[in-house]
Amino acid sequence: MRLLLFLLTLIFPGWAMAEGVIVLDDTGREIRLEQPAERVIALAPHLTELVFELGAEHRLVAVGAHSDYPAAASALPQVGSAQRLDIESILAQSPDLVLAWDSGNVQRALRQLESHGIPVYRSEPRRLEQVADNLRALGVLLGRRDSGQQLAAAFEEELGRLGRIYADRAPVAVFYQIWDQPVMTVNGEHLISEALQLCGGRNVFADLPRLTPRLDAEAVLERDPEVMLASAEPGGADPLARWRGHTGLTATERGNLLLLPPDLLVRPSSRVLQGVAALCEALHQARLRRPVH
Amino acid sequence: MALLEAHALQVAIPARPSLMPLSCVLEAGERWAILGPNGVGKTTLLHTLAGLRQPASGSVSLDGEALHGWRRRRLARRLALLFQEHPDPFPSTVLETALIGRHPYLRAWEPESAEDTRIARAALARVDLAGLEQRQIQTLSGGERRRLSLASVLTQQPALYLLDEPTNHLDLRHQVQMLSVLREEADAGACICMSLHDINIAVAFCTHVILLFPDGGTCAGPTDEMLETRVLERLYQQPLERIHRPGKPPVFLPLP
Amino acid sequence: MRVRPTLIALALIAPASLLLALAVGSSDVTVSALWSLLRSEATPFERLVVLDLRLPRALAAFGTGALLALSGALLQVLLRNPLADPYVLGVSGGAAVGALLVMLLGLSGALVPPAAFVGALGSTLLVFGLAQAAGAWAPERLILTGVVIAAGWGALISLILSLSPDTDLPAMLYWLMGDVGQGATPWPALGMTLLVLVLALPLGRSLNILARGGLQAEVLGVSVRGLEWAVYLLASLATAVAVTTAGAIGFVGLVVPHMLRLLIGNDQRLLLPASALLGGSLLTLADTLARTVIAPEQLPVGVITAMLGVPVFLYLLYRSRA
Repeated sequence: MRLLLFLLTLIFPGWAMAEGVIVLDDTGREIRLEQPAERVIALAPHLTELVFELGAEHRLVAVGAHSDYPAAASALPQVGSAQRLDIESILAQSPDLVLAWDSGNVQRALRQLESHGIPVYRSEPRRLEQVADNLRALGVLLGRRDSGQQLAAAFEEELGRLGRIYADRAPVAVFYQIWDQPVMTVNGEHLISEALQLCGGRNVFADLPRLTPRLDAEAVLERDPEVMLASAEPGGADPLARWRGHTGLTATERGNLLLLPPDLLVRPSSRVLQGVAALCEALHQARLRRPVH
Repeated sequence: MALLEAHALQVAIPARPSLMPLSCVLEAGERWAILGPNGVGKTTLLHTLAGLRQPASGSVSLDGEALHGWRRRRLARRLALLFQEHPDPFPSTVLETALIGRHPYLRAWEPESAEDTRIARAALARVDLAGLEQRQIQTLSGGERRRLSLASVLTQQPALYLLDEPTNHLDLRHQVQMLSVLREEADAGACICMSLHDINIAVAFCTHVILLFPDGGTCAGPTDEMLETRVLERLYQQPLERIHRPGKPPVFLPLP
Repeated sequence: MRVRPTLIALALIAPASLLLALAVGSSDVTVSALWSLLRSEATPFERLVVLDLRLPRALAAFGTGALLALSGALLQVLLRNPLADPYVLGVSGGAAVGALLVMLLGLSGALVPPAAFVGALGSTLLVFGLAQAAGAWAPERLILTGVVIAAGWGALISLILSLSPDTDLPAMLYWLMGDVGQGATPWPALGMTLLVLVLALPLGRSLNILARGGLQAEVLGVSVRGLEWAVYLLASLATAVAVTTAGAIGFVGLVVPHMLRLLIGNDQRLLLPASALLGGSLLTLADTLARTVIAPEQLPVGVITAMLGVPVFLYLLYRSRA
């Protein structure tokens, strides 16, 4: 019976059961509501963004910390940061649905919410196309099934378009630095690594076992990436500063130490495509700087 | 000139009323005992005489100079103090421990010379510790450790020995040996001043005594004038029997 | 006592640990590169890795380890307690609060070392002032004051960690665990090591006597108060510079002097330089391990020193009881 239900939801996401709605979240749990949610709390910035995209912001009663996009989200009541949720103020809002970030929020807190009878949708997009899945599922849960379908389709189309343009271009060896002290990067499992691949880039540390490994500086130099990337606030400190002094590196000699706008690539909402596009453009520029033989 | 002079000295004993003022003059060659019941302030008096504590009132002078005017290093060449306890938190050898007595004679960078080592070894031999130079102090028995402390004090070659219960932990043979070493020092011109629990050692060995009474009274003077049964009974609040020995100092025994 | 063999071994281990740190790493630049470097035949990449990356880092590790061991040795004498470590008086907590505050406020990373230094010295003065104000300067009072202040810093650190955005946490946690690889310059640590040795060695014999007790030292002509001030100041400065260079690395300051004391005794004139050599070598080796065990990924060096330090210390403790 469960399997049948699962297959059905694969074919018809948001398959209506009587008057209620039912979806599977990214962790395979089924979320069953008698009617679309009216009082929703989003515990991670990307979930807040998705709710706004779906045009369901009037159902959003509170958000987790750092939900700063769109600007209107900042005005909503806050219920604590990802690691330290304020269960009391969540319950005080009497939500009928909580949107959680599976690996970012504390599981114990999420289970506590469920034990109070609050349905919890766990989002965990590990691949870009899962953003579309999230849009469809949230569309169903928030009574915005049609905009969910449309936004998801648009997302998939843009993703495909970027892939068609860039994926088969000459590969570029990339070091993507997510943190400067200590130096940290991402491995092949990470969303950023997939975005790199989509743009015809190759993550030089894709082979490491941990999702966000901490690196020895000389390992970066040894793999001699053609491009070094990091995201930074405009006018903020330069996270790539330490590499700029090293001569004899392909990336420094070609001027390929590039900064991307912040947040876009790490928040799996539709805006991630802007980040991917900026990334593809950066790699494109790097290809243009290749010496002509 | 007097070696050490206490004038109307009142020692400050934490959480107790001060003792009555004490005046006494210690000369070279004399052997003094400080007697009194537990907790009356014998150790505090010794520390005050050594300049480690400020007196509550009165003064102490060494070689006619007020004690607080002495620089510690110079003072350490004239006056040594044997402590009641030695905590020894760190490892050290017997020879190293004996050598600390040379500290006041050496400049900062100066290593101990062969002469210093010779003095230390001689001191060890006098307290029957020859041959144990390289032993760790943690492996010594209580009595051996006590004799080692005396060796450190001997190595310091002071004019005034202040000793806090020096015979503690010692077996009878080593008690007698320690006293004879101290007698040699006094005969050579040093002054000995030690706190004791054993009246009979004071009677047999000391030329002078300082008595600290439980009611705060103090007095000082030659042994044969001071040590009367009645006075000692008041000192220890304990009935005593005085056993007369012709031609020898008397012996005091506690009565049940 | 095995004084001579221990000193000879130390004189060999120190340069060997530095050479090893230069010769291994996550890239395949190895001993042969050192050889070609000596003959000026090295490739630019070899020069880059050995001279720009490994050398400063190895020297920073050496200096930091030396300072921690020196500070531990000095504080153990000051507190007459062989189990004292450089952080017992709250120096690392103060440094951590300074460093983490800078990170929390989002100020430039360049401000982290000075803030750590100010925090370390601030904590030192606070503990000193409190112990002093209470009247007598007794080792027990100093230790208790330090322990309480350190607990206070611990609470502040937790507060800062819980107020910080998740994105700042990796840097903060690595700082707290101790980490040489933060692009630290080695010169303050090495310079401070020399300074401490030059200032402390002439005090060596006085320190030996201070170790036997404050009153004992005074009776032997040591001006105890001045000496304790000097030791306190030197040890605090040494810890402050070490913590500023590489965060709060544990166990080096506790284990190294303790271990050496069992081998060569407690003569500070030997113990202090030997501690500097062994502490430096140990941290250099630990940092080399941290860089290479799961290369190209890195472990915080504090994890390595603790993993080496805990069993060694337990062994020493067990042996000394037996």
